Amino acid sequence: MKILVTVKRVEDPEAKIKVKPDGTGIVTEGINYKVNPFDEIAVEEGLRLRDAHGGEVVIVSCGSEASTTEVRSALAMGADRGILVKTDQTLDPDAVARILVKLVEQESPDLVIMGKQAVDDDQNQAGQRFAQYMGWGQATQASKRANLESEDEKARKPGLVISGETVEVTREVDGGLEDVRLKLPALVSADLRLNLPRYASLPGIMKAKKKPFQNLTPEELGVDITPKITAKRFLSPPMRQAGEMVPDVPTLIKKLAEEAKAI
Amino acid sequence: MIDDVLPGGGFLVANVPIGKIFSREHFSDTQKEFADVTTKFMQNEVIPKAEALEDKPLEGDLPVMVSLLREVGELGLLSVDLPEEHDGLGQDKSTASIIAEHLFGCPSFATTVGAHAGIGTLPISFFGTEEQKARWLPKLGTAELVSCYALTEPGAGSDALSGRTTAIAKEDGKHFLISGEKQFITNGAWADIAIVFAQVEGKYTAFIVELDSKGVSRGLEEKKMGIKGSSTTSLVFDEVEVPVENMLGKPGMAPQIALNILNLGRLKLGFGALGNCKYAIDLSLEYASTRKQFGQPIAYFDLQKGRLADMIANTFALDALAYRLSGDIDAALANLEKDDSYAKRTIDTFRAYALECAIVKVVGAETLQKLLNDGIRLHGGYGFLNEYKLEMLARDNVIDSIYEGTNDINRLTIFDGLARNILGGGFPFRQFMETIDADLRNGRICRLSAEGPLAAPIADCMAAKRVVAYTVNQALIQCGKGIKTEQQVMELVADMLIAVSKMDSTVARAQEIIGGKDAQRNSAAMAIADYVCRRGAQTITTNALDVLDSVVPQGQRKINQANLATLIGCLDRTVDIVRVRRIIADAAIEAGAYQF
Ligand SMILES: Cc1cc2nc3c(=O)[nH]c(=O)nc-3n(C[C@H](O)[C@H](O)[C@H](O)COP(=O)(O)OP(=O)(O)OC[C@H]3O[C@@H](n4cnc5c(N)ncnc54)[C@H](O)[C@@H]3O)c2cc1C
Repeated sequence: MKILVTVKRVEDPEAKIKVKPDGTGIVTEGINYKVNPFDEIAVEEGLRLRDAHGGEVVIVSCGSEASTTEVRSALAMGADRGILVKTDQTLDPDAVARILVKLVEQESPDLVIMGKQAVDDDQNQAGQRFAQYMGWGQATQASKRANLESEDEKARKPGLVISGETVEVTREVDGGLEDVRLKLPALVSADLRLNLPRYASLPGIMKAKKKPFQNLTPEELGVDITPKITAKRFLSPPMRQAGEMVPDVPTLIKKLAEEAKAI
Repeated sequence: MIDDVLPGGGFLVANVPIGKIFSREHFSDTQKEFADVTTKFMQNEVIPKAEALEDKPLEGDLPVMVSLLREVGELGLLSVDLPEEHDGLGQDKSTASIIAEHLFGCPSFATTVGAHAGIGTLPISFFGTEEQKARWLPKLGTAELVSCYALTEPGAGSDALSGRTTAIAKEDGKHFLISGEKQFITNGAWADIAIVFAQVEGKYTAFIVELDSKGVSRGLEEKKMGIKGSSTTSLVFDEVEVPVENMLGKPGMAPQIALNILNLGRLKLGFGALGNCKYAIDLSLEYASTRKQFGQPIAYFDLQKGRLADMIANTFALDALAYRLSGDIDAALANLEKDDSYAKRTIDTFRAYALECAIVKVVGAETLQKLLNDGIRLHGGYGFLNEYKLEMLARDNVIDSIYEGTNDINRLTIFDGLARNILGGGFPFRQFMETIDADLRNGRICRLSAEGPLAAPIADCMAAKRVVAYTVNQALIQCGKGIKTEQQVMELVADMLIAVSKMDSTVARAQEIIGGKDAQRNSAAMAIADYVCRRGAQTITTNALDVLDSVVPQGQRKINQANLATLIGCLDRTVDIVRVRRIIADAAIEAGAYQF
């Protein structure tokens, strides 16, 4: 089977993010970038499914030239080939979804796996929009029942169960888990507890440099990427005020009503 | 001064290697990715277990430490510099050094890795026959077999080649019987094989010994001050039968094997220390930025800024000189033709850099030592607790000054290498001294002028080199053969050479950085160059006076003192070290992490 997995280049979640003084974005100097952590989980799931069922894992990223690094990282984990849809413009989730539609028309994969959201702007939209455009079934926030310390996990058993023309997915929903079955081809988006992604090995990193890599552009795919959503202004979250001790409950209630205007 | 920097201390008479050094600014994409994987593995799999590993836990029958070793083996970290023919990655020494640097945060683990993949494996890789390599290297690369290095004996520590373990040829002509006791063997409890050194009819020789052989017994775990997660035991051999084909190299080759492997071990130890320096700085910066006293983060107190600046600048210097060396070694190796004598000339290359390897070892061990001491003080009472991690690192760091040759022995190696190359013409020292002498006679000595934004630090380096050359020359002339017993003088000179090496490498690396876009980072790099030169000049000045006052006889003192005053005069430069330290610290606090 052919599995298409998306990866996005994001700011290192550990990095100290500063907003530019003019509010047009964040300061990118000195920031490290990496593969969106949810996408790493998606790649891992793709690799497990390929190893269990045969076929290939194709990595797709949309973004600037620099995103080559993230595609290579996924190839270093073991994916088979990479595609970068190159643009220096800011992409909104809808543009990404429409780019994917075109790619899927070319590649006809059996399954598309994405991270449930990218940790930079946390939109959680691209997958849903893509599935909607395709008219495919979708299972977002894929998880699994086996825990991450289990023997199955150690043996790198896939969390998604593919049999014949269907895939069974355990989804993370409010207050628990939900099992769904989808007809293939389908879209699955990965949540945190789907698996523990492997480390790229050093030989894997070296081999990744020689794997097939295709560069495309939105124009070549005929996709208009003019954003439908634009960011107006970036602001740092307000500093948290220090807490205050109150002598008794009546004072608390008074303060909540008069100062915090919470009640 | 010349541009060519020859190994064995040649930097003393050469120009500052501006634009000619390898540094992290030159890492390839692959090297960066290797560094990232190593970092990620340490952060996710090892550091969280560092404290628990001190009790040497088991996972079933297998020590957790060994299972971690196998995991990094699977990732290829143990075979990065093994030959490709034997399932290695065939990468250069700089790449192996990058891995060594990024094995930070758990020195017990790094020691285990080093004893296995470094001193326990490289002797086979360098000195083994094709059959030996094919038999052992693939399994060592994955840690399916764990190795160790058994050189030290109860009676043979620093005097490492005086071991009394014997290997006696059996009459069948097919085996040796090895008997003796080895002391302090890292991985002793869980190694499958050992590189064992033993006397064959008075010739010290290396063997590969399988430790499940009859007659091998392992001593109890030593109870140690640090690296408690690593295994240290004695190994006792009682007429252990070892096949002749397990002899490594030829009889009598132990010195060559032991000392050359040590050079590499020293280089890697320096890199290990470097990784921990950066880790400890990041921990300290984070703590100093969040811990508040007197209404503000302690990072904003001037005294703590000074402390942070010391940590950062000295780490920068270690980084610069360590990667400069790995780069120089790789460049020298790259020039060798891959013919029959390649292995031998590889070894010769390492020997040529013995002095530089010793410098990296000493600077690594001691930079980390001072830094952890400062870091703990910065943490106040919390620094004293296990929980804040510096406590363990500080206990673990003590061994760095002891093994791979004590720092004392390494300082003697530094002096010895220098003296030998001066007397034997290993680099053009005479010519350098002649120009200094001539300039002194003609009263032409002055501060050399250099160009560019780093002109002043470059001039510092040139002036420092003249002071050091003059001093060591006097020591050698005045003491003659008697220098052998003047170990205190040797130590003073070694420290002067170390200071020059730090200055030289720091300035050259600063040059690689200062063209960047980030203005604050650039000025921090310039400030670091000023800092390292200032501190270096101070050591050099003090030590030069100490040496000359000791070695120069009464009658010649006046002229010598005058000459030295002239030379030191050129080293003198106004540096507002207080301001410089604030610049370094402010940039780091702003960046929130060590940024070089
Ligand atoms: C935890 C640990 C792990 C180790 N792992 C290994 C291993 O895996 N394999 C292995 O073979 N060895 C190993 N060693 C041994 C280590 O290399 C030696 O301990 C070290 O070389 C010093 O030898 P020594 O302890 O006998 O000290 P000594 O040689 O007795 O030294 C004592 C003091 O005398 C000084 N001294 C010695 N000679 C001179 C001299 N000529 N001039 C001036 N001063 C001198 C030393 O600097 C030191 O200060 C390990 C040691 C420890 C503690």
